[in-house]
Amino acid sequence: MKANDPRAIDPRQRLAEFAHYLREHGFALGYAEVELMARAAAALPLTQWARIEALWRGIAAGSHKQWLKYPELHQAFWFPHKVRASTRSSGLTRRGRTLPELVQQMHGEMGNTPPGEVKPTVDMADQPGEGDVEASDAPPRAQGGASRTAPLDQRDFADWMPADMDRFEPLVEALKRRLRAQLLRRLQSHRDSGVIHLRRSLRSALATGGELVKLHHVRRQRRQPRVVVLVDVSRSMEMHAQFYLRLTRAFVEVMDARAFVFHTRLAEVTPLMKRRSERVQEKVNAVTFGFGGGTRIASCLHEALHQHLGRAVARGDLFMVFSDGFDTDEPEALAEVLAQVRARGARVYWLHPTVEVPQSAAMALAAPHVTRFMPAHNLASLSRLPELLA
Amino acid sequence: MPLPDALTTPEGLRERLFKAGYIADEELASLIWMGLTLERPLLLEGEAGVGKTAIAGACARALGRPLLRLQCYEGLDLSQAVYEWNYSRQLLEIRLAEAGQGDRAALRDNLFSEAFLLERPLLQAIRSPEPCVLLIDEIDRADEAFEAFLLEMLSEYQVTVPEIGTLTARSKPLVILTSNGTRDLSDALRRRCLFHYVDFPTLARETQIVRTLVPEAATRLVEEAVAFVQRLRKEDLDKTPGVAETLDWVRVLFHLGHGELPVDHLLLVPTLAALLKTRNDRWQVTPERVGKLIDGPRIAQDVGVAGAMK
Repeated sequence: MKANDPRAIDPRQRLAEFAHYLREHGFALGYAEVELMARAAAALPLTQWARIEALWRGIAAGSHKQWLKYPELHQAFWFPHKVRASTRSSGLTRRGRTLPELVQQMHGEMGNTPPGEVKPTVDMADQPGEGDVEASDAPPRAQGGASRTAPLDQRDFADWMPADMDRFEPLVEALKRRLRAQLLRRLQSHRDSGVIHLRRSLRSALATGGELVKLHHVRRQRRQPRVVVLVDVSRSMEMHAQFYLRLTRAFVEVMDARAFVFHTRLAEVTPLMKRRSERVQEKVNAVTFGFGGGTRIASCLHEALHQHLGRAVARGDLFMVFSDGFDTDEPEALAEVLAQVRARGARVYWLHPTVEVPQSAAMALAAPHVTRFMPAHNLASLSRLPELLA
Repeated sequence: MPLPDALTTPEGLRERLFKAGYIADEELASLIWMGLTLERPLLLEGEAGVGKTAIAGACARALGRPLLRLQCYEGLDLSQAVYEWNYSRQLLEIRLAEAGQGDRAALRDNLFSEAFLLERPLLQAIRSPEPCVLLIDEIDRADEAFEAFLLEMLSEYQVTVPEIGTLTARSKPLVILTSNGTRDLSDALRRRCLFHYVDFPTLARETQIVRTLVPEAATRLVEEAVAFVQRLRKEDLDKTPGVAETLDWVRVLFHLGHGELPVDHLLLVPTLAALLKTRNDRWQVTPERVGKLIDGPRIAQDVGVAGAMK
C-alpha cells in the first residue's frame, strides 16, 4: 500500500486540505491561522493529542454558529469512517492520514519532542472514545451525502425545511445595508470630527488654566429607521404564514424590528422571535389560536398603529405588511389606515405571496398608499428585497 | 518567556485554575493554555452571567499575575483606554520655564516624553515589567474605531504614540476579551483571537461551582436549587438566569434558613426575584409554573443523575 503510506504526504498539505474544507463551510481561515494550528499541534504534549480538537476549534471558529458546527466537521474530516449517514459533509474522498499520525509527524518535524517520548500510534488509540487508527488497508470511503446545490432558490416557501431558514438572514442584512441612517437635529459628542462645541471646550479649558488644550466635537445624531413587520396568519395565508414568520424572525434579529401577527385580531410576537428556539412556531400558534377564520387587515393595522406603536412610527421608518390582501373590513378602511401611516412619514411595503399584486377591492383602494409592492414566494424573489428601497 | 512547570500542560493549568476558585471544563483549560503558550488573545463569548469575567480573575490568581481591566462602553476613546498626555503638568512646566526657573531648550525636548504620559490599562499592560492578565470586558459595547485600534495592539503588542514613536511591549500580557454578542465583531478581530463560547454549565458542574462558592449552604439545597435553575433555563425567558443568579438565589434561600427547596411553592415565589430579572419573566413564571417545574418528574431525580455523573 504505497499510496496510503502516511509518510508519503506532507502533514502541512493535509492540514491545508482541512483548512480548505473548513473554508468551504464558511470558516474564515487565513495562512496565519493554519500555521497557528500546526504550532498548536506541535506544542501540545504528544500524550494529550486528543485535546487537539479543542485547540483547533478555538483557532478556527469565530462565532457561536461556527463554534457549534466545528466538532461535526472535525469528525467528518479526520474520522470519516466514524460518521454514519451524514448528509452535510461532502467532497474529499481520498483517504488521508488519521489525526494521530499527523500530529505525531508534526512533532517529529518541528523537533519539539525528545525522541524518547514518541509513543507508538497503537498506544494512542487507547484513548477512550475517539481516535482509533484506521487500518491502512481499509478501503477508501466517501464521506457520503448529496451535493448541496439543490435548487432551493426556486422552491416555493410552502415546502421548505426549517434547516434552510438560516438563509433569510443574509437577505435581510442586504436590505439593512441599503437603509440610510437618518440625521436628527439633536447633537451628539463625537471623538474627532464634526463641529467644535465651543461651550463645552471652554468649560473644560478651565482645568488647564484657560488654555484650549482639548477641543470637544459634536455632530448630529444618527438614527437607524425602525422597522415594523405585520404578518397575516389567516386561513388564506396558511401555506405561507410559516415562512413569512421565519422571514419576520430574520427581520427581528437583524434589524431589531417589532413583529405582529394578525388574523381577526392582533398580537405582538417580538419577544417570541428573539429566541432561537425550536418552539417558536408552537408559541406563535398558541398566541394566534382561537382567532377566527377570516382576516380583518384594516382594523388590525389600525390597532397596531394606534395602540401598540404609539409614536414609534415616524419619518423614514419601515412599515411592512406580509399579506395576500383579502380583507373582510370595509374596503375604504384599509386605505384610510395606510394613509395615516404615510402621513407620519413612514414607508409602507407590502409583500405578497402571489406573483401578481393583490387585486381585492380593499387593495385596489389602498394601492396608492403603498410605497412598494413586492412578490415574495421563494428565495430568489427575496433576494430582490433591497430593491424595495430603490 | 518560559512558563512554570505546572503550566506546560493543559491539565496542570486546569488544576491551578481550580485552586484559584474557578472550575474550568477541559476545553476551556486547553484554550487558555494555548493562549499562554502561543501568546494569542482569547475571545470569550456567551450570555451574561455565565462567568466570562470570572475567568480572567481566576487566570490572574492562578498565574500569580496582576489583573488589569478595561471596561468598554459606547464612546470609549483612546485617552481612557491607552494613554493621555498630562496636560496640567505640561502647562505647569511651561509656566515654570516662562518664569525663568527652567531650561527652555530642555523643555522643548522633554515636553512630550514618557514622563508626561499618563498610562491607561492597555499601555500599562504592555509596559509592565512582568507579564500580567489584561481583561478587555464587553468589547462589543465599544465602537468599531476602537476595535480597529485593538488590532494593532493585539497582533504586534505595541502602541504608537505620534509624539514619541512606537512603544513596544516589555512583556506580553495574556489578553482576554469578553463579548455578550450584542454586536457582531469584525472578522479581523475574530481571526486574531482564539474563540471560546462559554455556555451555561451542566448540572454537575454548576452544582460543583455553587458548592465551592457557597460552602455554607446544605448539599441538598444546592442540588435541588441548581436542578431547578437548570429546568428554568429551558423555559422561554427573556433573560435566562446565569450562574451568578443561581449563586444569589442559593444565598437567599440559605439566609431564609432553608435546608432544601420548600415544599410550599408559594414560599419560593418571592425569592425568585433573584433569578427573574424582567417583568415579562416574572409574569410568565407563575406559582403554578414553579410547582410544575419542581414536581415534574421529581427534581431529586435530576440530582441523582448528576450524582451518578460525578
